[in-house]
Amino acid sequence: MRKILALSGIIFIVMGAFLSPAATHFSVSGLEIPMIEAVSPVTRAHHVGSSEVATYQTQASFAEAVRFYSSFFSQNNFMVLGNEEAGEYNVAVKKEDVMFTMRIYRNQGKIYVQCIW
Amino acid sequence: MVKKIRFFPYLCALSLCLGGCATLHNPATGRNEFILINSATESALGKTADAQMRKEHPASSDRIVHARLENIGKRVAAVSDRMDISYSFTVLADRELNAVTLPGGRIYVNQGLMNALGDDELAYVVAHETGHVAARHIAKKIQANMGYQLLLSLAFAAYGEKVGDNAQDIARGATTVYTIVGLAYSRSDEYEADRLAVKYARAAGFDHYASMGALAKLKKYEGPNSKIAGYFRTHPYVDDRIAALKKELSGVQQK
Repeated sequence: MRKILALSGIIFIVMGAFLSPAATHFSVSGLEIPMIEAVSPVTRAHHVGSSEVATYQTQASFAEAVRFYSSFFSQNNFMVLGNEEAGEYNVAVKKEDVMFTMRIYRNQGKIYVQCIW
Repeated sequence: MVKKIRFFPYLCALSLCLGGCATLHNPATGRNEFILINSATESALGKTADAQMRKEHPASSDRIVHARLENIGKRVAAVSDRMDISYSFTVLADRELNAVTLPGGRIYVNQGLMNALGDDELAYVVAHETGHVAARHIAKKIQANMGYQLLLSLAFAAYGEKVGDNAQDIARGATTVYTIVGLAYSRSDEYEADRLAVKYARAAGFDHYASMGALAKLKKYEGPNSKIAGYFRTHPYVDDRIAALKKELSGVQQK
């Protein structure tokens, strides 16, 4: 049991979960991105091509989360490539020199927001 | 109970990590896959790489040969599993027997290959390339071989967005995309594109058995001294593919 606990702890630390669910923003390449009804901390990981990935689970519905971020990007003059496809919201966005992809997707009935850069 | 509560944050983090690996369902492959590059980004990358392609390989000026490819290509694209991009078909003035696909559904066939194949055989080649597009093999190849920030820079550059100060980086990035699409596909990607080619060629009303004839013809031109071979450099494993195609075609016959 201790081994499992230690392993879980290592995964937790490596993935770098450091924000509480109550956090209102998270940082992507130094840019503050607002969170919508987060029910989990933001986890961070490295993914394919050495990209960084930040993910949190939201209590908002898929449509609410999409509306929230679409309007955030539009009000803050982000350039946006993409929209909803194959059942998820998947856009590449750019503001000044910061570029990342945002995905909002369903997984086992839960809604996740993910940024990749 | 106390122990259970102590585990809770770890379990939350673990489940979120697993949730973070969620995937999209790809109707062409029938699998759930992790694909970062959305269709708009893929099309933008294709637009940038297209400029590089046309610089190195000018398009053929033969209108009749263009019309022939477009006619076949449009019929095949209309039955593809992927409809969220707009397919384009271009004949390149190159005598090498090859066909290549850039991101975003840009399919190029060399004039040499056009001249060597009949319509049904050409439909198989175009359907095979369409299979690579529908199965998102190109997006996956780029995703695996290219830095993510460079990839996004190139996509935004296609829309005239200024990215950093160095135009040379963008040019180098376009060359990288161009180089990556010129790399050989994996064995499993080739099998999958062949399977989809049979499906699309048949659905578009072409003789799907012509796939065997096309590969056999192309094999005849291969060899160390051939000056026009090239198809199997980017689309390898020909003998295994012929064997797999035979199996696929006998399955289609039974349906």
